[in-house]
Order: sequence, then structure tokens, then C-alpha cells
Amino acid sequence: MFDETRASFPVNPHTITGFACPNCRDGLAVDGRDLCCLSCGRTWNTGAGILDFAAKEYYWNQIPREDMRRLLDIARDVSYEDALREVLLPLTNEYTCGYATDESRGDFKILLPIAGDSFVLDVGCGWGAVAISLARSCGRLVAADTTLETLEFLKIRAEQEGVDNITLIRIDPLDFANLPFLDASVDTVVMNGVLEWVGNARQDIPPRSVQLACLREMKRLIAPGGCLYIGIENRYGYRYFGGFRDHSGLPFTSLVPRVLAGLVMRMLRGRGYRTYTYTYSGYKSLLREAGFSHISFYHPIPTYRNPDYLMPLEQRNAIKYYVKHLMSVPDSPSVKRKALKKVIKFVLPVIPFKYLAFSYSIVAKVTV
Amino acid sequence: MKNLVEVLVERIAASSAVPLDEIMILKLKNRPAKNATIAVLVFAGNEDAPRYFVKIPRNRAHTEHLLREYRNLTALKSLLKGTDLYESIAWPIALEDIAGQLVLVQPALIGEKITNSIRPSAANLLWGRARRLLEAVTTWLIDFHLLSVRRITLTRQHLVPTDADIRLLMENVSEHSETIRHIIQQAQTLLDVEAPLSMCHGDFNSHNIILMDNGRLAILDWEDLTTEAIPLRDVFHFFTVYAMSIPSFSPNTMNRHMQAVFLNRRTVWRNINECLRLYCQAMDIPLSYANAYYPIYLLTMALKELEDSRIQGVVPPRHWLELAEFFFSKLGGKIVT
Repeated sequence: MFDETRASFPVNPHTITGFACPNCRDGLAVDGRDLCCLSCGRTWNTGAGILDFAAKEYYWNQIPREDMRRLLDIARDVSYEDALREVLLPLTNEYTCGYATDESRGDFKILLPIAGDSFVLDVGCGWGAVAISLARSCGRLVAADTTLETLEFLKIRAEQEGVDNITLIRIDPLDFANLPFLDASVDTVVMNGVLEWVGNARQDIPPRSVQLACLREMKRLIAPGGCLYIGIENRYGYRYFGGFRDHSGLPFTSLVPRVLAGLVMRMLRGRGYRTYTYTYSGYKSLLREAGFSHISFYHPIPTYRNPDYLMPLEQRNAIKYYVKHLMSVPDSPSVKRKALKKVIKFVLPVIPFKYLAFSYSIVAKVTV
Repeated sequence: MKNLVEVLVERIAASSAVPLDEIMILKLKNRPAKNATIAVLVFAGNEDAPRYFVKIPRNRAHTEHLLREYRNLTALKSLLKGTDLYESIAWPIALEDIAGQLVLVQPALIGEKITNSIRPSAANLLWGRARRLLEAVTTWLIDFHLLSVRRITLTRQHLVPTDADIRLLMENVSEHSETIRHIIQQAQTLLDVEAPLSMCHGDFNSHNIILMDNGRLAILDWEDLTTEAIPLRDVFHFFTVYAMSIPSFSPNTMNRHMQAVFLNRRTVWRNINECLRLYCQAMDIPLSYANAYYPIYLLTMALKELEDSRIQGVVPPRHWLELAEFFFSKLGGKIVT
């Protein structure tokens, strides 16, 4: 757990506007260092500037906990960028380091109805690159994650970047069915690379039902006129046909029927297949069932994790334009490569891209 | 509530009578610069309909850059009107504040960056494509510089950065102190020489040059435009960045490439060398002057990158000074032609 000696959180009442007790959905009040429910009297710790709604101790990160603590020390004493370079880079790779630092990962925000007074919730904020980017454009942002150290890193990062409108909350892993917010209190919810993991939260219910419950909870939080942003893979994404590993850690599991994928997973990994992704139509029906309307799909290139381009999937001319003018295939003297480039340029515009795109950026609105 | 893109699309649709349902949006990211804008390309489904490029700054620092670019373009417009160069710039259509977010709307330039087409690959060299493009770029630059050129006697402030800047540079790249001193000595030889001054693009490199579908060149990114600078800076920047952008780039290979440029060895480099001679001839600049100015240009770039690296919190790039060191040690400070 975090260092209690640093716990000196003077809770600003403004930062808890919109929060509610996860059990009885009543408003919260500040009680010294704690938050407490006005109805049931339950309290939550607010040490180290993080509102702790989690019941369980949990740690998940790309690096072990000891290294994460070392990283936090350097971030505090020197700078968060130095800390990432000194600790994260040697333990992982340049991609992960770029993933942690690159604020431009949050550029999808131009597709969201965010203004200077908007209230945004980033679920599963991780290293905070997206959260910081969003916070620069909105009035107030709540960043939720399961790991205290990760949130502490984001706190240091926000301070060093001069971003002061982020509230940090810790929640239990994948516990998205009972978030501590009032109904219709949030303008935009961002779930970037989160929905596919939600099925793991409950083993007794089919993954789709868990995901649906999560989406219904998001719908509850979002105010009319607001929206939900989801960054996620396509079940039949073209890369999977080439053996790219699914979230299960195995290739082809998203392509085969769920029953078969479950069987293979039990045989090889000793657990069921629960990281469901869907097709274009699958996401549409899931979101409609959860109560969302006006669902727009964009194809992030190369992936939703680090998009260079976002193309509206309904607009075929956008794909044609991308292939003709923007797509870059590595230059190589190899004849094979050049032939491949020609084939790609010829074939891409005619394939039904919305069904085969590797991943989607989805914007689902809640109607007024 | 509408998102920024929806508002933009509506405004563009209203101003240009393009049906809303035919408008497409692409978002482009200019990597890897931390301050790069988010750029949105909005265009109509119909091939002939107008297309727009919208720049959206990510942060306050880049908002300043964007405003500077807008001001520079506005100033440049009157100068270029009536010349052939007028068509090669995407003149701003609007600078708007949408929900507190500044955006710059420009017509989209449809074409390809010339970086790939001038690479020293067999295809580019065999059919003379690289050579034609390099010549076209040089001619464009000559026309641009000749528009505002005037000849004056150079003083120290035209050539070398201030003492404070040099001290700062020496503190950060102390291992190159000797090279920096050498460059400043070199600058002394150019004092009191009559030389041209003109407008300079400031970041003239192949990534900022587009070969449009209509065969014309278009030049992007005018935020670093200066009104009175030594025009050779644009030429040197163009071919030095070109050498650095070759895929196999490393400090060693860069030095090899530059050696080839200066010693007039391989075809592509010979092309560049010929372009430099063409430029010097057209601008009435002696090659000895170009020789002497090259390391000074490298010093200026080292200082500029040092400023950027301090903002972005990265290690100061030393390759400009490594190149200058190489220039003195291996070539004796001469561009061989």
C-alpha cells in the first residue's frame, strides 16, 4: 500500500463533485482524511491524493513492484521522464516506453464532445499518457486504475506537467459494474483497451454478459448528450489471420467459434476463453443493447493504442485516399517487397475494410 | 454537444457548399515531435471537390507556433502574389477559435513528400527522377531568395550566435568546445565580406516539400520564416537533413554520406553538389564563401536543437557538431567541386 506518511490529502470538495457511494449511490462527504457516504456511513481512504475505493490489494504493471517503486523515487526526485528512461526502458523496450510517454495517443479526443467545462472519466488510465492529453482539453478528469503505484506515478506526472484538474481513484480490478459516480454525472467515458478484459471479472457469468453489464454501468454514468469512447480490437482483424496473438496469448482464438477457443484455452492454458472481442456488427449490437445510440466506427492506423490516422469506416473514399496518398510501405530494393506494395495498394480499397480492420475506435453517444 | 471535428465539418460545409454527408475526415499525426499538431484532413467524397487541412495545436507552446506560422504566411502572401511561387503554398483559409481550441484551416495539398523520390535508390537514379526533383527544388529556392535578396557587408551578428548562446552550448556539449572555437575563428574570415541576405524558410527540408499531383512543388511549415538571413542556410539545411534522413543513418554513415557530397563521389551526391553550384552561381555567391559558411550553419543548428532538446527534456543532439568536426578534420574545411 502507499506510504501513509505522505498521506496529507486535503480533499477539495470540488474534486468529489459527481462522486457517489458505490453501494447506496448517495452523495459523499469529506471527513478529515477520509471520504464517507452520507447514507450508509461507509468510509474510504484518500491518502496520498488518491481516492481509494478498492477493497482488495492488487498490483499490475509491465514491471515488477520493486522496480516500480524505484521508478517512483526517481520520478519524484528528478523527473518522470528520467524515471521512465532509467527504469522502464531497460526492463521493457522502446515501444513500451513510448507507449507510456506519448501524449499524442490521446488525439482521438477530437472525436469526443469535450469542452473546457467537461467532466471526463478515463477508466484504466495506466501510465496516464491518454489521461494527461484529455485533461489538457477538459474541465475535470477522473483517472481510474487498479494499481496504487500507477496512480501515484500519474500524480507525479500531472504535477510535473502542470496539469491540475485530474482526480485519481483506485478501484478493484475490472470492477466496472459499480463505479462511485452519480447517475448522468459524467460527460465522456474513455475505455481504451479495457473492454476486452472485462469478461475476466466474473467467472460465473458468460463474458458477454459481464461486458454488457459494464457498458450499462457506463451508460448510467454518462449524461445525456455525452459519449463513450472505446478503443478495442476487431475479432476478425486482418492481422489475426496471419497468426497474430489474441488477448488469450494464443493465435487464432478470436477467429474460431468461442466454444472451440474455450476448449483450446482449457487444454493449453488451464482456463477458459474470456477475453471476448467482437466484429463490427457485434460491437454495434452490444452497444445498442446497453442503451447507446449514434455509434460511429473509426479505423485507427496502425492500432487504437498508438494511432497515426483515424478513418471513418463508413467512408470508403477515406480508405482510398489513405492508400493512394498516405500509406507507407517500407522502401526496400527487394523485388518481392515492391510487388507486395503494389498488391496492397491495389487490393486494399476493394476489400470490405470495416469488417477486417485490425482495431476500432468507437464513439457511442447517449441521446438527449 | 458536438465534437471539434463535427463543428469543423459543419463550418467547412457551410462555407464551401460541400454536402455534409460527402465530407471525409482523416486524422494525421506528425511524429515524433512532442509539440506536433493534430492535423485533420477534411475532404469531400467527390474527387474534384475542395479539400482542407486543419491544424489543431496540442498545447500552448504549439499554439504559439501556429500563430507564428499564420502571421508569417499572411506577411508572405503580398510578396508572392503574382509570382509562380504563389501556387506552391497552402494559404490559410481561416484561423478560428472553436470552443477554446485554436484551429488553422488550409487547403489540403494533394501529393507526396519528396523524401522517398530523392532517395539514392536505383529507380530514382536510373530514370533521373532524383536529379530532376533536386533541380526543381534548387530553382524554387533561387526564385524565392531572389525575391527579397539584398547585399550587405556582414557583421558578427549576422554570422555567429551571441556569446551567451555559445557559452550555453559549450556547457552542454563540452567535448566539442574545440570545434566550436574553430567555427568561430572561421566566421572571422567572413566578416566585412559583402554577401546576400534574404528571406529564409528556416526549416527547408525534404519532409516539408510536397510534389503535388499537378507536378508543382509545395512548401510546408512556415513557422520559422526569417526576413533577413543568410540564404545559404536553406540550401545547406536541405541537403544535410537529406543525408541524415537516409534509412541507414548513423553518425558514421552520415559522415560517409557527407564526405561523398563534399568529394563529389556518388551520383546522388554529385546531383546535390551540382545543385549547390547552380544555386551559388544564380545567387552570385563564391563557393569559397559557401565553404566557410557551412560549419557556421552547423553551429546555428546545434544551438537550435539544444533549445528544442531543453524544452523536450532530451539529451542535446551532438550530430551537428560531430559533422562540423568531421568537416574540419577530414576535409580541411573545404567543399570540393
